[in-house]
Amino acid sequence: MGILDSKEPQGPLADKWAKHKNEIDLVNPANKRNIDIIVVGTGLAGGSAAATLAELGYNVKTFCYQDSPRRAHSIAAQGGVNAAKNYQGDGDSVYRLFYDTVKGGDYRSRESNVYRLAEVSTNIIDQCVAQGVPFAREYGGLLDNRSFGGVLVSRTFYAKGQTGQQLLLGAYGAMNRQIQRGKIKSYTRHEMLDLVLVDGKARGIIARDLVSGEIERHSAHAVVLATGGYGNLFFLSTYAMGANVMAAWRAHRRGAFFANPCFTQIHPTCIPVSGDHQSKLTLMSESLRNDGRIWVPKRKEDAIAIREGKLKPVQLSEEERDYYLERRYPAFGNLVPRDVASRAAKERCDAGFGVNKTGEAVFLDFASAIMRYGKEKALTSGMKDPDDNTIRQLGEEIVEAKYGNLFQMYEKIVDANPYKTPMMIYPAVHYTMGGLWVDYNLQTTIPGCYAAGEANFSDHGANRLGASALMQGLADGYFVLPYTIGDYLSDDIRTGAIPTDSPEFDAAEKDVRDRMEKLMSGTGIHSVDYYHKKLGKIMWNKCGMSRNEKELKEAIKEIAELRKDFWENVKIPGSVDSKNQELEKAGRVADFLELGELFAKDALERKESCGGHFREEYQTPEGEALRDDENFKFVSAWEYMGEPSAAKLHKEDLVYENIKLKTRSYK
Amino acid sequence: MKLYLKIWRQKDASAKGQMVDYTLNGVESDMSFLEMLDILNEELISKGEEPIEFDHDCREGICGTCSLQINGRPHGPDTMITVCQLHMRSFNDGDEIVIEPWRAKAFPVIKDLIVDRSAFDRIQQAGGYISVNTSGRPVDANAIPIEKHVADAAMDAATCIGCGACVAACKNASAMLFTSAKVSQFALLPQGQVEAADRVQNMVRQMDLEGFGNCTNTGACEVECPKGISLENIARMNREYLSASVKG
Amino acid sequence: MSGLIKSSIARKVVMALSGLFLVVFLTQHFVINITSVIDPETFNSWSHFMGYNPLIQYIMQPILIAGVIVHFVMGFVLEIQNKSARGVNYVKYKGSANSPWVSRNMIYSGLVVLAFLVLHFYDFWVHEMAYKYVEVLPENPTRYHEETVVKFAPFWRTILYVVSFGLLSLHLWHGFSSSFQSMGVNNKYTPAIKTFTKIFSVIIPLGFAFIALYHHLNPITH
Repeated sequence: MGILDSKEPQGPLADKWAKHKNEIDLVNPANKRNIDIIVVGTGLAGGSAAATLAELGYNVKTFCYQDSPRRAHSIAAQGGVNAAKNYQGDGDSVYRLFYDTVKGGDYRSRESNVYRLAEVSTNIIDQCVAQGVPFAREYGGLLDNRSFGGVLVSRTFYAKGQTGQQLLLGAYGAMNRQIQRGKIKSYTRHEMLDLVLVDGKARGIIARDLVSGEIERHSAHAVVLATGGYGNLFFLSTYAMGANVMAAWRAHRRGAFFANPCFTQIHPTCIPVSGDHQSKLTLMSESLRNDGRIWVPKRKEDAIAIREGKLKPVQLSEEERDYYLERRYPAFGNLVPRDVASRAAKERCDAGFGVNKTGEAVFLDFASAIMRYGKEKALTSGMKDPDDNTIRQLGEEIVEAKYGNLFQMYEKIVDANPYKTPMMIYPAVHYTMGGLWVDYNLQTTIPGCYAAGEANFSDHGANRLGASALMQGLADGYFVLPYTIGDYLSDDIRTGAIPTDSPEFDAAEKDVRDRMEKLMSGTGIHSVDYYHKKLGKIMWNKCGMSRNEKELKEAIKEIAELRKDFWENVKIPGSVDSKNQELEKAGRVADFLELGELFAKDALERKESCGGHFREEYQTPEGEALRDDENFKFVSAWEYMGEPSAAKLHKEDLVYENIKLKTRSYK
Repeated sequence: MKLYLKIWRQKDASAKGQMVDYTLNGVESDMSFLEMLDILNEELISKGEEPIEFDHDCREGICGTCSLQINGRPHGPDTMITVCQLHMRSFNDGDEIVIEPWRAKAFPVIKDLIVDRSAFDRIQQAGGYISVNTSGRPVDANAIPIEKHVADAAMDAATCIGCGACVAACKNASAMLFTSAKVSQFALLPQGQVEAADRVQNMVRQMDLEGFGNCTNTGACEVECPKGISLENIARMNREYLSASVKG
Repeated sequence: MSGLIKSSIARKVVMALSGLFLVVFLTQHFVINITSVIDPETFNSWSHFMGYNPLIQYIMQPILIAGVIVHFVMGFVLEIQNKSARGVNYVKYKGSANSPWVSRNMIYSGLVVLAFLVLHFYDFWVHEMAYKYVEVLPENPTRYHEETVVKFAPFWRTILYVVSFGLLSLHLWHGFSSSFQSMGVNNKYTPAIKTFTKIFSVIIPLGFAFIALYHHLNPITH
């Protein structure tokens, strides 16, 4: 096992979780009152963990940089949450959800963790309905489901296009109940700046009150990091502007291994970039691929004419269009997994078939869905021989009922009506499968430091299936971490409150203060955003949807240079002891500048293509990803050794006892 | 395009603020409003001035963080959107744009255009939830069927993003639309009805304690709500409150 | 019960209930007054009944006065609270973009109506009290029509009345249907309530104005 002990329970896969729960140590209710837990991040994973831990009786402190826990970026998840309920009777099961997730992740995730995820998925739906989450329902009053990419069943529960919002508000409500009871103390507009270790155990954090600028010490018996992903490394992404890697990276610098940093999800259906001023990319839910068909013109001349505005997409006949996903992947068609769809879009655009001004967009077309629904509606309402206009109108009404808010959002941003002309979309950075390495208990390599949700690396392997992020966040927070953490804390029942005046806290606070002073002392002329945008360009161009050795090496060098420039020259107005958004951003970008290099290094070392990680050197003649199970069937877990370039690789071999490794095919 | 901006600057909560004029060139119509402010801030930083602080996060209209009063209206001239979804094509070259923070006694200014909306959190803490513990063995999600139109109505109320535009728009700075949205969501669902009476009383009590004004049914909140939350929710809360009070 | 009055919703309900009560009174007042134009004898007999019926004099009249006082006092309380809830005012506030003028200015239409009520009480109620309880003059069931018409002889008073009825109309335009919303009624009947409100808030004040003008233009000549 070596240094990475995954602590997977032995025995048959289906019994592991139940057996583990029976065998781990518990903390009795009276003792829980004497134990403090810090939860950083209040999204689905952090919010649900905080609420459940407080329900169990622990004293919880939560921290979020937002002005309210309710604003964590889980709120932006649109499509839905998976659960193996098999309400549709279409043959779904815990095993099938497990299998789809492992296959979707291109066999780079840990079997036992994924099985547990599939197992507790059904509890999530029960729990959320009990909390009053208004999931969509059918006319019979039962819960409705939709389909997502990479699977052949309907298992996705949803609340309009705002599923993440509703689930987060559910968790936020559960938190509020505990805040009212005094069991959670919520620190908003606070940012964790460092993790404090005492005797090798995580015993607290240094945080900054973002309003007053004050540096605070908070101690606890365990620290849970649920701080989301690091996609903002790319500057342009679908992440919230404030999303950052600081908490995870600080923990990494203190000894937590960082796993699979190069596994990034590029979501295929986002609104394309419109110009240099752009700050943010907007996702169009994957659910749109249930009804939208993706295409580019068959002939390059047509693509050029469309780009120049001389031709309208609706003028092209069916024969003149290339529905490339349906052509390449007939079995899954437009519902192939995200990595496959994204790469296929890039392939077409690189080949010169892109359809917007910059040549980096493809069409997502609802015309045939509108006509199909319209015909159905006309038939069911007893119309005889309706004309095309009537059918189209009926169809538009149905599409509006399904996706109205998404269409409206598109129209607001792009100023084009997607009912009349196809949407233009392009892939964008959306999720990071990599994160802090955790064992079966979700503990990092630092005792007492746990990671949940997107912040850990655990369940999605090299590519995440749609509607699985919400599932994982809530599974970790509601059903896994609150129990597994007891195993660790059972040793702490006599420890008593952790003092914050120890030398360890002194040292950590000093580090934090020195770092901020150093940031403020930049002598150059460029703002934080200037460096962030530069980093983003390097990442997108050289570590993006496809990667190669030469460019990855260049990226490593360029990022290191940029980091040096940043630390010497970044210009930050204002002071450290007051509200200062530039200083907040600077601290985050400083960490991205380290992570970026490790990311490229990880991508360079992984000499295979799998999931979201596509190395140009490793592909089949048809341009599909070529995985190398012989040499790379492992989790890369990086140990911090000073500079990112010095990071030390540890490998956790992935053992598949219940699934046969196959080439992933969606044809 | 060229814009003449009048923006509220205030150093911190205790400082006295004032409007400051800025002129900004080179604004493009497909920029979002916040990207326009980003550009202004880049200019300010390059001149060595402190940038204008404003709240924003998801920039896709769902987190509810952004909160600007633009030309006298919350989230600006368009309806059914937040500031981050507002694009500069809604303005013309040479326009004067007045940008202020939300104004309410219960939303004190923290800095520049940032206000403290923790009053909303406290209203939710007073009862905006259903009291169920996390349990590995709850009732099956499909055990209680819920009529589709009821579930849809609950969803419509639940769609509130807690941005505070209702308070900012209301001439009385009333938080009734916000509070009633949460009360409605749970009052509609069978799971929420068990503690409905306590919930509405506790949440209204907290709302009043925070110093929000009284609702006078002007309807401004409904018009300015980026999520189109309906006044019906306020009526429902009034109803719930009265019946809870009568029951004692 | 005291807890009920302390809450913002309860205060609004008090406004709504007292307002609706005044609407009912207004309707009854109008029905009696319009007879002064149609048939002076009916007007005299109804007025005499109202003036000397003990139930109306000793029960209904105090309730009415209490209703008026409650509505106005609560209106002021709400206005003061609402003003202070804003804290710092906006430099630019575009209320016209999201709400009708009448709904934002109930305090002003209400204040005009209050000022009118003072005049109106002075004109009729004070006179009536003096007649009955100070001077203790004998009952005269036929005096009312003439007394009323004479009041409207001066042009200034007629104009003041007509202007006040205009503001009453604005006050009703928002207040009537709004009181249903305050009491929790917002359902499929709401559009009908709103339409009725519009008709009522135009017809009734217009009718009062018509009565005033009619008597001004048709003085009694002996």
